[in-house]
Amino acid sequence: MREVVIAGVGLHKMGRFEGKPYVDMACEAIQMALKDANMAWKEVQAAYCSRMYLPPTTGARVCAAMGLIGIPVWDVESACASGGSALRSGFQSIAGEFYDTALVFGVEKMPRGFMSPENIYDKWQCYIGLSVNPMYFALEARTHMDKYGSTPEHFARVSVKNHKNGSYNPYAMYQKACTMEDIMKSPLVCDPIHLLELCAPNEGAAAVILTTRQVAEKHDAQPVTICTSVVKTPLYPAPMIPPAFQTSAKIESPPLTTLAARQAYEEAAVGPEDLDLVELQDVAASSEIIYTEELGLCPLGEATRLLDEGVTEIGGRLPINASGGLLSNGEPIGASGLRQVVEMDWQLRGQAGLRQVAGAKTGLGHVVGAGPSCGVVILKR
Amino acid sequence: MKDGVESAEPARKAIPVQEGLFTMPSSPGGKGHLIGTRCRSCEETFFGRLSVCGHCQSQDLEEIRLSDRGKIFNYTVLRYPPPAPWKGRSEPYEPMAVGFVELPEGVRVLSLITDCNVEKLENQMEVDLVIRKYFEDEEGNEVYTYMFRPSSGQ
Ligand SMILES: [Zn+2]
Repeated sequence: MREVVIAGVGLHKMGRFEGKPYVDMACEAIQMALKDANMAWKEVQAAYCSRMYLPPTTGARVCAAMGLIGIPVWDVESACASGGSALRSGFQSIAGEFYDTALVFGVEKMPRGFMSPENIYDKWQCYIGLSVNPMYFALEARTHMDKYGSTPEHFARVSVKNHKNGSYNPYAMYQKACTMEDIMKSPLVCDPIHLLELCAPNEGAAAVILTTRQVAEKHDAQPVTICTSVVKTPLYPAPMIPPAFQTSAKIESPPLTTLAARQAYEEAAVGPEDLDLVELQDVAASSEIIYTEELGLCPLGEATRLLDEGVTEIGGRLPINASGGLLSNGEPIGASGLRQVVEMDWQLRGQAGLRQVAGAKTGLGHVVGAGPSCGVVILKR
Repeated sequence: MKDGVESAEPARKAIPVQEGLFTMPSSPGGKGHLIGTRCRSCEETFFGRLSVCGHCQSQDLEEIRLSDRGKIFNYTVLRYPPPAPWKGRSEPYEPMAVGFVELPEGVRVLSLITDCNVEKLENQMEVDLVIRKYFEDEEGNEVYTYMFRPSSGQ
């Protein structure tokens, strides 16, 4: 396999953009990425589009608006892990020498309010109400509380940290810090999860140009290496991730995130101790605590200590979700995983402005979604 | 719709919300049970009817009856009504408890937890299976689901 680099990145702000077509949002992110890579559209040889709520052939429609240049375009979907899956598709196409330059982009415009559960769950689950995503996050949070003594205050503190980080991110949906009191007094959604501890569905777009080091350097870009991009589905038994409605009480396997992370560390020859920053799937504040441990960033049960000691803040030893995470950016599903990659690319190039993690050289991105599947990417400058 | 020949049949039927998960109560006041599948190769047990063992991929499976009594493994309370097409009552909405119920066969089943004070549930609490009507569909059929409720005496 040959080395794959990111030659350029682009991002459309996350939020709500009433009346703005998804094609326009995606094209803005792609134009920005091409400019960053010092490349022309016609140099792209293949494109992978990550989306879930937008219609079939979204990728082809966006690429047609960029200009018809005859390239193959694929839509890639795996719920909240879609960005990781699209990145892996582009990564393997360059590593495997099918193409020298590929575009990976994500775009989403999600309906307001509750997302339709029928995309994820069987009808019968929807009819009786076992179709509420935060319910699964809450069940996992309560298991963590029972096992390791984490508390609702710990989860609220994650939300305070990520909202503070988001206040430094001009691309975030929410750029406003909030207090422990704001969070603990926001409505309880599913015990122990409050409204301000859940990410919002919204809109956004992100794009990355993948190529070889040689091509990137020829264009005078600032390449960031993709050490690896991994996608995994679980081993038996099913984890408590939608739409599972049963699991085994007899057999245990490593958590899905751990399976993906272990493979990524091995392929990248990078360990958790080598990481300078992490962007992970804080779909709920409690999820950040759980995934911090499942990614092997600390021993099981010690993520709350990392949080208490400030390790995961910007300025700490291992900042987590310096971008503000999903809690500040919302989760425009197709764009979200690639938004993490764009953020890390900026961080590793020292271009992250007020939220810059000083001297960051190695970063890890993590998405996990219904199905379930999980994506882990490791980047290096 | 009904002609003379079919008039002996009731217009409304009692039907399960999903085939293959539980049996219907055979008579008024009668009890249904949860359907399980046991793998003869690895002895893993599943909720519902399966054709392949999810653990060892064997197709040497047998249908079993799962226990009516289990224990709450973990639970949460839905403080807001689930999204459409949820068929429960939203006005007034009463917060619903949901959780994984661990059965003696070694399987944890996600279930509504009913007939309880949601503020007083606890992990490890004993719960019993209930199979009852949850809603009426557009054809007027009574649609049943499985649920669990705290065992009597608790
Ligand atoms: Zn088996």
